[in-house]
Amino acid sequence: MSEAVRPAQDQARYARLLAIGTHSGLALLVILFGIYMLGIVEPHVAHERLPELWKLPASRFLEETGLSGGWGWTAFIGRADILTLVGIVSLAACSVPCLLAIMPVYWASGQRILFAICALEVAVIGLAASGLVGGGH
Amino acid sequence: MRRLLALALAAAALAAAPEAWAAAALPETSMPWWGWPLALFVVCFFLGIVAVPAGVGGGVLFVPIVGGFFPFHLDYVRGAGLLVALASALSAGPALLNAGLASLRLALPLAVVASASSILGALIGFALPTNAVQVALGGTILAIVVLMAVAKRSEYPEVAKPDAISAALGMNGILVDAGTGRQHPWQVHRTPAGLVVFFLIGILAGMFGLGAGWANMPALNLLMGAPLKVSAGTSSFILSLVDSSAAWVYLNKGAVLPMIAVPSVIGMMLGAKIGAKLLKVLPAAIVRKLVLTLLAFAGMRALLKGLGIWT
Repeated sequence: MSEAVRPAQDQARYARLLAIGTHSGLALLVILFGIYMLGIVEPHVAHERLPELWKLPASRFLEETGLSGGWGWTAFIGRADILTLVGIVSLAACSVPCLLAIMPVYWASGQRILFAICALEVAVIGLAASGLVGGGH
Repeated sequence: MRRLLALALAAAALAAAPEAWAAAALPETSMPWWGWPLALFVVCFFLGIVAVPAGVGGGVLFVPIVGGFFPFHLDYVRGAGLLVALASALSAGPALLNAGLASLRLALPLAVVASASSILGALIGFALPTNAVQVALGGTILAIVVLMAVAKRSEYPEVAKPDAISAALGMNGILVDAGTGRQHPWQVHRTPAGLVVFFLIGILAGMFGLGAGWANMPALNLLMGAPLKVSAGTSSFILSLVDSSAAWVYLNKGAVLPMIAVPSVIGMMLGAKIGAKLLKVLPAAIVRKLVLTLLAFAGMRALLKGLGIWT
């Protein structure tokens, strides 16, 4: 491979971590969904109730099922449907370690603006994840 | 023969959506609870097959088609659409970065702006009445169809001089043509305009749960002057960050139902793998026209559904 096509250190590091995060996230999602579908673990909302509930807006769904917005779902993590959300969360979060991993590369090479941009992106995803903006109720 | 088989598969793929429409018209009691996730998986599998040769993102097909013809509330369809687009973008990311087809330095500044605005878009989507979101979705889908039909592409746009921001951030690189081995240095310009456009793209992505490749590509390629392949790869990479932010808002609002989201993600990803394999044998231009026609129909359906004309 020539120097020109070899990915830069930041890209290579990001790609390596992203591959690990995505593959493990997808595998986790499939396994947890399998557990949910096969009824190995009791769900919070019975399968048979879903057709009447998935017609409702999300806010009504939460009311009808006794769940709350934000991170309230974690209180029911032992239920199969809620447990499946862990797989989804792992996908939604898997860019964060990648961004954190390339920040030292930018800092060490004096690219402070890129360092700050990465920090800002982590903060934006963190803000969205925190539930502080639009966290349900 | 192989080409015929592939075409038949593509036609079946496009026919899958009407099957779902017919199913949607059935009395609700005739479909057991597991029938809908199964139908969703099948439709998404076929959408994944045609999305690749048509050059259309799965998310942009998913939301209007599933939103228009399945019994799910639009909140969950938008949430699942974001996850479909997110999972596809995350999966493609490592290969694109390693091949130099996605540029971190080009993506990061644009992604920060679009990520922040996607949160705003998601909140707007939840604040508006569902009918208003349906109407806006229909209008947006129809506009996307027009954009996809008329937008030109430039393999290696001419960028005489980078702007100050892109120069400061090192938004440049060298693209190596895999066929010829020739190196094409590239740089970008009009970064301030690009940032404004990506702010708007983020709002649309968050509001409707659409993957935004249809908008990212022309913005990177035609506006900022990135080579076509770099634009395509970087567009996908930007989606992985933008949709992450918006997906969290949907999760926090309770708008991610695993029974809807997971079959969609798995179906679309498996279909896309088949679609990529059929890329050489499927007549891409014909498939693209068929998919755009289907998208126009779904957009019209969303518009009429929102207006209460076709419920």
